[in-house]
Amino acid sequence: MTISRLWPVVLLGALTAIRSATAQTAGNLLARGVRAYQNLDYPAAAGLMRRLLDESPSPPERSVQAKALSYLAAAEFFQGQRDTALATFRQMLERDARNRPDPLVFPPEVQRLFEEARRLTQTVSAELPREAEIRPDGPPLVAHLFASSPQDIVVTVGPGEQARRTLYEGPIGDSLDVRWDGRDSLSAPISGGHYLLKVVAREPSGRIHRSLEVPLEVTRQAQDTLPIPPAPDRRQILPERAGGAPPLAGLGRALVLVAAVVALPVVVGAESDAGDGRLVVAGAVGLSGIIGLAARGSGRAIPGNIQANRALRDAWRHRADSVATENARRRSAVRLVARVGEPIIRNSEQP
Amino acid sequence: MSASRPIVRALVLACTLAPAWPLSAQAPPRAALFGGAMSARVEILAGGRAESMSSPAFLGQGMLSAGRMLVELTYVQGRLAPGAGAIAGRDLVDGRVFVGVRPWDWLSIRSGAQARAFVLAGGTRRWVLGELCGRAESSLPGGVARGHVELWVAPLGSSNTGERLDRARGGEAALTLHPPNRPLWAELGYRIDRVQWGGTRRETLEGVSFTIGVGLPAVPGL
Repeated sequence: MTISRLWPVVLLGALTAIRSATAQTAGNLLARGVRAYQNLDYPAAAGLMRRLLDESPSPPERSVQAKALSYLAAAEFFQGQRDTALATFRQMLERDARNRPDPLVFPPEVQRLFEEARRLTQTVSAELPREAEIRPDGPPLVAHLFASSPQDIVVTVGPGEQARRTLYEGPIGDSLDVRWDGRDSLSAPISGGHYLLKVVAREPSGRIHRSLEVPLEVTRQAQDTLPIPPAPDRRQILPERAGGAPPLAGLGRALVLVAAVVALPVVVGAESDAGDGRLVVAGAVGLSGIIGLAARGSGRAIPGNIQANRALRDAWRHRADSVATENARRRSAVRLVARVGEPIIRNSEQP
Repeated sequence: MSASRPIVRALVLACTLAPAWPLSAQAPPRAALFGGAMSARVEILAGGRAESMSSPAFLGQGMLSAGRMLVELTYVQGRLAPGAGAIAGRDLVDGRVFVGVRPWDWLSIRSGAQARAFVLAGGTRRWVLGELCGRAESSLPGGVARGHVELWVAPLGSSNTGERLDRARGGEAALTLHPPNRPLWAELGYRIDRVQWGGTRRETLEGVSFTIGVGLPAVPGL
């Protein structure tokens, strides 16, 4: 095995090792910080949690972040740094409005401080699927919104600041589901592109103090149309006339027969003795062919076969009509696929 | 001709005795009877003298078909009135029996015998031919009418006068009208044959016939 064949294996192993080391480091720091907190060594606990939050090579998981922030705020609080602890709790809420310090771990005074932080911090976080299909006449995109505290919000969606569609405007208590059906401010299906789902928190005075922006990359996908079923094959069509041939072929046979009747004396070598009687038969054959052709086309009708063929054609026409209707529906139906990006929180001081 | 006679005899015999056709058991037998009149005209050239006679004659025909096998009987009888060159009239009696197979619906091959007799006051002239026959049939536009053309040759023949058969050929063409789902047929036919004996005698029979038939069609689908 050559080096060139080995490098994917080596790369995969290295990535796995790095990820494992990061997880171990974060987990180790958290465990050490918790142990220090439990030993009432608050400075050490705070230091370890800050290292965990600020110096990790990659951001720890959200649950680890929330836990670390809880211990950090509590450690700061017990060191007499109340405002700092308050700020830490607010930071924890801004990361996710659903974050809470564990009431079984942290004492009531810490819980009271967190409640104060909740009152002061009006933030909203959103939970959306990573990818969702939106249909104007089908299931909408659902954004689950969670508020840190009751507040007034405005939820809009649009490609830019202009022509935004307001999805919700009003108070939010604990949580709220907001739905978007893929239509713009004029209620027309959107054509796709880059959109922003924006949750704006307003103060009672109307001033915007924080907004949450969720990028949506919307692509419009046309549905495949169904193929029109093929018409009944000639082999499936039963003969509708018995003893018949295509009209021209039938006429051709009649003419051949006329010629044969006229030529019969010559063929048997008796032309010198033949009379005109054969012309009567030849004329009758020719007349019969012409009358038959004019009157009935070709052959005697077979009602059973005609009925079976009609049923076959009707069934095919029905299927073709159904497919055409379904295709028309599919062409008119808009199918949108939204890929949801990472939410961004903007405070009022940010542009 | 004499060298090929054994072969032709065998062929005629094989066709005549060919009833073991395997398809014969596949369909129920069908039978039909025809009866009608024929306007017959006979021209005889013998010893440099030509005789012409004509007569309305009775024509009867029976047909039995089972699968691809068929048997056909034809009988003609009439009193020939003397015409140009003929001294006396005579009775005409003609009979044919054919056994055949129908390899395709449009074609049948038959073999059999034909006997004809001219009954005069002074005696009867009679001959018998062994024949091979092919008949092509086809429906005509409209599905009510059907036509057929038949040709036959007689490689074998004998006469009660001891004359040697030189050549015998004949043919028939007819238009058959068969209304759908009715057992009645009507047929307008034309037939002609010429038989030469001993290099000196030549008989030609020509006839236009109209017959009514009763029975099921011999060909499925007609």
